[in-house]
Amino acid sequence: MAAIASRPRSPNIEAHPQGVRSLMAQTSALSRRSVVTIWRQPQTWVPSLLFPLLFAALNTAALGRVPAQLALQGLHPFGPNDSFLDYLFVGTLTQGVLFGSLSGGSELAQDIESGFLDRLVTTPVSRVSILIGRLAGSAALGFTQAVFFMCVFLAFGARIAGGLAGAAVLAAAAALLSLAIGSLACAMAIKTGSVEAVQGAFPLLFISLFVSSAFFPTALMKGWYKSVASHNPLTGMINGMRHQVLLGFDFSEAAAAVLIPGAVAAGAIGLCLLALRSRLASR
Amino acid sequence: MTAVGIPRRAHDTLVGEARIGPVVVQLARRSVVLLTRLPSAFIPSIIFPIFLIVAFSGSFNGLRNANAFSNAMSWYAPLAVIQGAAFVGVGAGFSATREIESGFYDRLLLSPAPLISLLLGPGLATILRSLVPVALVIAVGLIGGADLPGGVLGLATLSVAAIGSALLHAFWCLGLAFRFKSQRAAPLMQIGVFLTNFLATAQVPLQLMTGWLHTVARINPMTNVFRLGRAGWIEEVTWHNTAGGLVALVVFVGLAFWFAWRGLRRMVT
Repeated sequence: MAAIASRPRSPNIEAHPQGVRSLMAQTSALSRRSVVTIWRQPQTWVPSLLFPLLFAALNTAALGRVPAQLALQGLHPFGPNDSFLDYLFVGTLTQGVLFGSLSGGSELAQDIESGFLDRLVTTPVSRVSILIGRLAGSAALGFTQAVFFMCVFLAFGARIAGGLAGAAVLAAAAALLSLAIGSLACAMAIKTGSVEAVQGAFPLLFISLFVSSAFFPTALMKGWYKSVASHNPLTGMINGMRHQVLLGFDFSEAAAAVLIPGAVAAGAIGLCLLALRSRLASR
Repeated sequence: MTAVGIPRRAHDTLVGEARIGPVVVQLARRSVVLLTRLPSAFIPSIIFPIFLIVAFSGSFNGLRNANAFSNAMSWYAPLAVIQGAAFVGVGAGFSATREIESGFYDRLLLSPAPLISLLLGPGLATILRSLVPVALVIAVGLIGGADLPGGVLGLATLSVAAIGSALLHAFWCLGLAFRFKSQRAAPLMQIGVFLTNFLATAQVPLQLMTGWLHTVARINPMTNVFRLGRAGWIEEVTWHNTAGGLVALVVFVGLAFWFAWRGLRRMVT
């Protein structure tokens, strides 16, 4: 206890300046711990794989005829192939990534509740490594989910018109989206230190996903709902990703797909660092 | 003996006369009072259907172009009402598991209260509690622009469908609660609502469905219940579009009651 008490306590998030090599080693070890923690708790990520697929199966069977019916009237809001499966592909991928991305924040809140974070900050480990390690786990989960959903949808007959380049854009956007939401969840976890508070953000994600172009084209919506869905940043990202699936690789659309979650991730990581600094300062 | 949450008069009734009526009323009253004491357990059954009506009618408004329906709000308002009421039924199951774990049911079973009242009490409470989301979501639907060609009769058929659905899920979830005796049964209770509703005509009419979902929805009794609920909202109320739903509700509420009754008997023995 004396050893712990005698350690200098500083609000500086880089309390123990070290070499780049040491920083990399710490980050790598903490990233590995984060990934292994997620892997060992399938109850936190398996639902984010299964429920979107169940939802996709239901929606495809319920709405599968809609594109063809609209095509008879000369409308092609679901893309040139009039395939609801192709259209739903990106929506399902986004749904899975969004729902799984909270797990990183929940794990961090769990670390705070159990006192693990307090023990960690008494060691000479870099504070930035603690954060990067946790966020790397979120990004890795998002990437893995993207690959999983691609495999399942391709097996059921969906096609990615943009080929490998398009698939790479989908995976990168998914990883960045997971990083962005994971960072927001981590900021919330650091601020509140409560798993329940982080899980409480789930309905917000659900609403933001529904009020977007994830499951139905905004062109077919109307009124205020259409207006909100059109201005939802998720719609911009989803449309960029969907372009790669329905029409083929396009650089400007790919940039939108990657830059929107990237910008949110950058802002959210900044929030995380501020929250961590504030938490350390208050101790 | 207010520790168990039942007023003195009710307790006297339980221990003394043990007639079904007063016990059922007091158990229902207790459950309704809990609404104010534990709002977090009830609020989702109000918020969720309101979100559902807004999200579905907003997202799938374009299905009008595919001749699915003429007014999205008229199609999805009954879904949200029935779903909200069903979640009130699930709440009865949640309460039962909580009270079994806390030992309240043990005390109830030790009292001379007739066994059947332990089902009828939560059943009456479910009917009363379901009136809240039914009224609220109907109001949201009408404000949101739903048509009501069936008029008052349309409101009545939807209320019957919603309350019937609430009772069906309440007895089903009570049956699960009596068997599992633990809150671990909660996901099973919730999944039951989603599966029965979304494997029916919850989202789109039968003629728009394809493949396996069309086959399942065609034989799913909830399809008839939705037809009953939507009877006055998308067309005039007729015997043709309500009879199937009424029969389905009577049969399946009866079966769910039997399932719960068997579970309760098994728990007692």
